[in-house]
Amino acid sequence: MALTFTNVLVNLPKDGSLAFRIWQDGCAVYHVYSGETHWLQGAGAIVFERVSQHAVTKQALHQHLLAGGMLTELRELDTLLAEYQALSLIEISPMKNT
Amino acid sequence: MTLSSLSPNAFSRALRQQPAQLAVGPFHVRLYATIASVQQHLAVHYGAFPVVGDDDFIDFDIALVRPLSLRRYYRAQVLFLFEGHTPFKPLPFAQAAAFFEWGLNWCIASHAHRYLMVHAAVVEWQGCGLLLAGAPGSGKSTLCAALVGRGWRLLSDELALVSLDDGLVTPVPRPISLKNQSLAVIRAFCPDAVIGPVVYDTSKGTVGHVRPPDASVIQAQVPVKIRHIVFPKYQAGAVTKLSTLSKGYGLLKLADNSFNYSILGVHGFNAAGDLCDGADCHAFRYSQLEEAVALFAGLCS
Amino acid sequence: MKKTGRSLLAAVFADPNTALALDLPQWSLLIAQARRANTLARLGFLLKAAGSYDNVPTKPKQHLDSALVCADRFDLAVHHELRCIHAVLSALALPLVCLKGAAYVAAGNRAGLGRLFSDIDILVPEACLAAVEAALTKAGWMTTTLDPYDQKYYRQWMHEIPPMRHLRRQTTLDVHHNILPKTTTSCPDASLLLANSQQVPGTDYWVLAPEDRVLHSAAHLFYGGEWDNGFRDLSDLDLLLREFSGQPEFWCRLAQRAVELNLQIPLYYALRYTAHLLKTPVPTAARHRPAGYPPLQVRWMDGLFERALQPNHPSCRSRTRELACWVLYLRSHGLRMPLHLLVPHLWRKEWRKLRTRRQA
Repeated sequence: MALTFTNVLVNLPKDGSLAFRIWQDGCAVYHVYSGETHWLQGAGAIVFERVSQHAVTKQALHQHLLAGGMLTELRELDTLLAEYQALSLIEISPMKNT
Repeated sequence: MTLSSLSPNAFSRALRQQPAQLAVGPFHVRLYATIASVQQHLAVHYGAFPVVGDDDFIDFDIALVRPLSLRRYYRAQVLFLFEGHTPFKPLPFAQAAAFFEWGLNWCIASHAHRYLMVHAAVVEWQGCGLLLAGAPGSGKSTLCAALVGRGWRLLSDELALVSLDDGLVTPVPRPISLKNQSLAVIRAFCPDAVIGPVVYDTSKGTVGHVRPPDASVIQAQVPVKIRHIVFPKYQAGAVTKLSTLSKGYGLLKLADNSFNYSILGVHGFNAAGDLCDGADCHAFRYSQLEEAVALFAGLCS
Repeated sequence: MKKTGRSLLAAVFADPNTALALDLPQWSLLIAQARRANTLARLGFLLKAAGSYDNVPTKPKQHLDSALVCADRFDLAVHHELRCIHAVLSALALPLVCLKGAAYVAAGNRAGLGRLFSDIDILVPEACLAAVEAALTKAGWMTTTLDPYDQKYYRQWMHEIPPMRHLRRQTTLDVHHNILPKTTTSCPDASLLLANSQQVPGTDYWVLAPEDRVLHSAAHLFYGGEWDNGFRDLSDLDLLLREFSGQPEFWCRLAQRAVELNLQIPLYYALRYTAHLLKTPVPTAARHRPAGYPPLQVRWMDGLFERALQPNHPSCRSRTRELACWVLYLRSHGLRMPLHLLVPHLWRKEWRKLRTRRQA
C-alpha cells in the first residue's frame, strides 16, 4: 500500500543476480539464484528496459509508459512492480518526499 | 586409421577380443561389442570413424552384454554398461544396436556440460548452420536425413553441442535415427541412403539408422555457426510455411528442448541468448520434403 | 588390476600433485573413478587448490570443467534454497541450523567444494518439529510419503520427519531433530549439539561446531548403511579435518566431544581410514582405540570398511564389495534399532521391494 502513496526508486538488484537480453519484442531475464528464465513483453519489457539503464522513480516510469501509450493507471504499474519485486527482478526502495 | 581399414572378418574377430575405440565427434568412446548385431551396426555406420589409440584418453567406457541370468537364454535381453554400471533397465536382445545409440546419447547428455546441449539436429550448407530443434515426432530427424541426403553436412541428429566458449556448434556426426513411416519416406526420397537393419517393437516403435556420410565424419573437427534456428512441425497435407519467431520465444524453446540448460545456469542462458542473437528463429510447418529442402537451400544461399 | 589397497583416486586425493605424472589412460581411469564416486567436481577443486589444474591435459580437463560448471550452479541453487528455508524459520524465530552437505556449503568449508547432494538437511529442536512442519507445509513443502507405515517409522523411531519436497522447485528437505535415530543405543543428546552450534559470520545460517560437524559426518558414515558415496563421505571427513586441524586445541576438543556425544567409535574409524586412505595428518595421540573396544573387532571391521570405502568403479571393486556393503547395511540397522523392531522392519522392506519388482 505504501507504494501507492510515496514515490519510490526502482532499481535492478544490486547483487548482480540478473543476466538479461533486451530484444525488439521483449526482454529475456535470467535470475542467477532461482535459476528461472522470464520473458517479459509489453509494459513489463518497457519497465525492465528502462530500469536496466539506471535507477528510476515510479513516477518517471509511469510517465514513460503513458508516453508510450501503455498502462494508463498507476495501480497497474504498482501491480507489475510488486510482481517483479516478488520475483527478485527489481528492487524497490522508498524515497524521501520531494 | 579408421574402423573400415579392417576386413569384415578381422573386424569382428578383433571386436571379440578387444573393445573398439572410436572418435565420435569430440568424444573418445570405448565399446565392448561382443554382440553380433552391435558389430554389424558398427560395420555399417561407423566405418569412416577414426580409431583411438590405446595410449589415448577415453571419455566413455561402454559395454553391451547379455545379462548373467536366465534372461541370457529365455526371452534374451541386453544390458548397457557404462563404467561397469547399468544406468538403464535391460532391453530385448534384438534392440542391442539401438541401445548403444540411445546409451551413448545419455552418456553425452549427462556429462558434456562444457556445451549447451539441445535436442536438435544440426546441418550445414556452405558455411550456413541450420539447427532443427523439437520434441520427438516433430519430424526433425526426417528433415535432417532429407537435407543430408541432398548434400548438406551432418553435424548432429539428436544432440546439438553448442560450445560455451565460442557459441559454435561442435559436430558429433552419428547415424540418423528414423522411426516408423519416416524410414519409407527417406528410402523413397534418397534411394542412395544406407539404412542399417531395422528393429521393430522398441519403445519408440520401429527404428532404423541412416549411415552418416563419410564427408561429414571426416569434417567432424570443423565447427559451424548457426544462422537459422528452426522449430519444425510435420503435419500431413500441410502447406510448406516458414514463419518468423521472436528471439525471446526462440530462447525459451531452446531452453525447453535442452538437456542441460538449467544445469548450466547463467552460462546456459548466455549461450542460448548468443545463439538467438546470431541467428533468425523460425517456426516451420511442412508435409512435402522436396519443398522443404528447396526452401532451406534458398534460406542458406 | 589390483583391486584392494588404495585406488588411484585416493592417491590423487591424498596428494593432488601426483596427478600431473599420470599418462592419458591413467587419467581416463581417474576421471571414471571420480565420476563413480560422485567426486569429479571435488577433484577439480582439489587440483585447483594445489595449483595443478592448468597443467591437466585437455581431454580430462574438459570433464573437470564440465563438473565444475555443474557444481557452481548447484552451489547457487543451495544458497537459494537456504534463503527460502530461512524465510520460513525466521518467522518462527528459529535459527536455520544446517547439517551435512548444506552445512559445508553454508559455512564455506572445503568439504562443501564440489559436494553434490540431493537433499538439504536441517536441525530443529524436537519440541518445535510440529510448528516447523506446519510452517513449511504452508510455504509449499509437502511430505513425500503418506504411507502410514513410513510415517510411523519416521516419527516413532527416526531422527527426522519424513522428507519434504517443495511443490514448485521439487527440492527435498530433511528436517532432523537429532543426528542419529532415537532407537540408537548411543544416541547423542541433540540439545548439546544445538547449544554449541554457531552462526556463520555474515550470514543467516547456523552450523554445528567444527568438532560436532566432524562427529556427525563420522557417525553418518560409520553407523550408516549406504555405501554408494562411501569414498565421497570419507573425503568430506578428510577435508573437514585438514581444515579444522589448524584451530587451537582442535584434536583435544574433538576427542572430548566424542565422549560427551557418545561417538568415540565412529570417530576412531573416521580417523583410522582418513589417515590410512587419504593420508590425513591425524596426530598419533588422536588415533587410539577407544578403551575396551576389542582389537579383533577392528580387524573384522577393517575387512568390511576397506572394501566399502573404495570408489564404486570396476577397477577398485573387489568381488566381495557387495557382500561387505550388505553386512554393513545390516550392521547399521542393528546399531540403530533393537532386534525386536529391526526384524519386522527389514522383513517389511524386503517384502515391499519384492512386490514392486513383480509389478514392474
